[in-house]
Amino acid sequence: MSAVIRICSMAISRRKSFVTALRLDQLVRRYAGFTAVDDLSLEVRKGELVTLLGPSGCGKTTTLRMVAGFIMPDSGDIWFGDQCMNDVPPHRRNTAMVFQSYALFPHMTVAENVAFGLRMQKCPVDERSRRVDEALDMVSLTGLQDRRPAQLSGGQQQRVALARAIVTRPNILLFDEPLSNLDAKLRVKVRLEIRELQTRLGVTTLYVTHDQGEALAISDRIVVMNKGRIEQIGDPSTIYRFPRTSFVADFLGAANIIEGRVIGKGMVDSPVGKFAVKSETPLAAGPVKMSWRPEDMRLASGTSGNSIVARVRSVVFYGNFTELEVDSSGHLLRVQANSDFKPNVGDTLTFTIDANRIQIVE
Amino acid sequence: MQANRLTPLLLILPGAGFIFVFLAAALGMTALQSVGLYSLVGESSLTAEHWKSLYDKAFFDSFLFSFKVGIASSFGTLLFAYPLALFLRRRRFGTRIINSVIKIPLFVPALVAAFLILNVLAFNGVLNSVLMGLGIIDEPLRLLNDRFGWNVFIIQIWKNLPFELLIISATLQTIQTDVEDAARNLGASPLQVIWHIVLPLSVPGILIAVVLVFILTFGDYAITRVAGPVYPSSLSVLMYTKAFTLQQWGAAACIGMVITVASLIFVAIYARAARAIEEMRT
Repeated sequence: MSAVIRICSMAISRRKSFVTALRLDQLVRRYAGFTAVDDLSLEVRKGELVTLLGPSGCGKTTTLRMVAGFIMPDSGDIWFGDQCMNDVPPHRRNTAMVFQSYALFPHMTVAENVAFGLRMQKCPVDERSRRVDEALDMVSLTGLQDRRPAQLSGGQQQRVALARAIVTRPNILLFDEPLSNLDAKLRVKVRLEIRELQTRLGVTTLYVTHDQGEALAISDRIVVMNKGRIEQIGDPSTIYRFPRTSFVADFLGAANIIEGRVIGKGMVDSPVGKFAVKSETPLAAGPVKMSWRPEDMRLASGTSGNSIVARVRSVVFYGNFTELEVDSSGHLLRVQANSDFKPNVGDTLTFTIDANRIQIVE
Repeated sequence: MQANRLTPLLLILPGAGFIFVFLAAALGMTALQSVGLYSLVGESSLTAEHWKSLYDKAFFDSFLFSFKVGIASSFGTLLFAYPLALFLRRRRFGTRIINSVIKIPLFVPALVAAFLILNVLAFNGVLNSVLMGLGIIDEPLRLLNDRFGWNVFIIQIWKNLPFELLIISATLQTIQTDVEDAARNLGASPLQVIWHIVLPLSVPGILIAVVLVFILTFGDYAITRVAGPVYPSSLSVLMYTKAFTLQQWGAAACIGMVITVASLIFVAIYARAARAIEEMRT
């Protein structure tokens, strides 16, 4: 059975780069006093897992709920393949959503919960029970068919919600912060399982989270959102390495952001020092913002190019690394160093940053 | 330490004590009265005579009538209250006005309500005039003091609608929006969401509403007295007649016991059902 699924998903993945499964075209949704989603356009390819990432109130959940049909856009279009879904009610969209609260039906058993979508699709009884068993097997819940949701742990409830969503073979799978009610360790485990299952089934997926680690770990592409708008779209490593705005730089991992002035070809002067930077586009003279990661600040022995002299303000040991907060001419910078490195507060240290690790951001 | 233990006792004493003393005393005396051990007229001696005197057609007809009114009113009210509660659940145009108007019957005493609606349902009342004016009927319908008790149902439904509505609305509030959204998302149409999700999840509230209204209407005096049929009368009316018209206090006490015990049985059935539902979910 799983061999069949693997072959199917290979066939889909070979094709997926060509087919657009979901297209959002200039979506706008306003509420009294603010615009929740502001001119959002996005294309999701078939079989792709795209994450909407941003702080609470950035419009990511509103976007997801518009795709499901629970919220109507004020303007703009939603396309599933070549079909415009604007006027299609939620129950005819064939999406399947995994809710933050799981939203299991408390009066039904696990098996009845999972079977619900198939019942609504008028799937014949024998096929229904076969597919329910299959779905429960995929999420390792075999044997719990007759339990009620209240008798399950949070992690098990989460799996029921997942099984209930995939069993209907939806056009688009939607996740609304599905892991935020689980403890940290389970979160890491389940997110990998979700990714594995999604790849195996080859189902197009839109995934909402505010957790950057989660987004980096499971996504084909990440859409970073802020105040109802898209800040940047890209695959995880591109988004992390080449943030285009200071918001993206800061939201995905920590970033040191320093304002400076372009003083020559690829040279930026700033209060913490002069830096050579590499930029794809030539830098125009004037003010710019530089961004670099805490782990890109390396200890140096002497002051050569791209160096910063700073005083240690705090040292925090995290086990696998040590984080320092350092002060350079009144600017606080974060540094991630090897955990064997144990400076004292008040020490003066010199750091150097590789030119291609410095990113010019908006 | 001692004072701390006494405080809760002192807090419940006035309320619980009041209820307990009067309930126990009243029920006890009525029970004694029904077997002749306590009598307002004549001698007191143990006898089954009062209970035997109930064994006639009038009593059974009254019991059946009260039972019928109780069942029909509680479920009849539900037919109106439930859809209304579903409608009022979401805030939309007009819900605030409907919400205020609908509560008026709560503040109108049953006797006054009966008189108010009497004018609408009377032989020469508003309803018959309108229906005849429209040519729908040729002669007035007999809606008042009819044998079946249509008018009693109509007044009871009018009176109890806000009561059931409040209970059911409170239950509907407890259903998570996400759960309904999940059902819609999985392909359930709005009607299917109500049938498969909202209705089963509101059964506890429906049970409470129906049982409470049943008990209220089963023991009703005022509405049946004003608008009910001449025969049979409700149990409460029969009890009054026995006591004050026929001076059969013992028989009246028996009827009082019947009403109380029947109500308690229904509460017990309700408690059983509620517990079964609770167990089913955990």
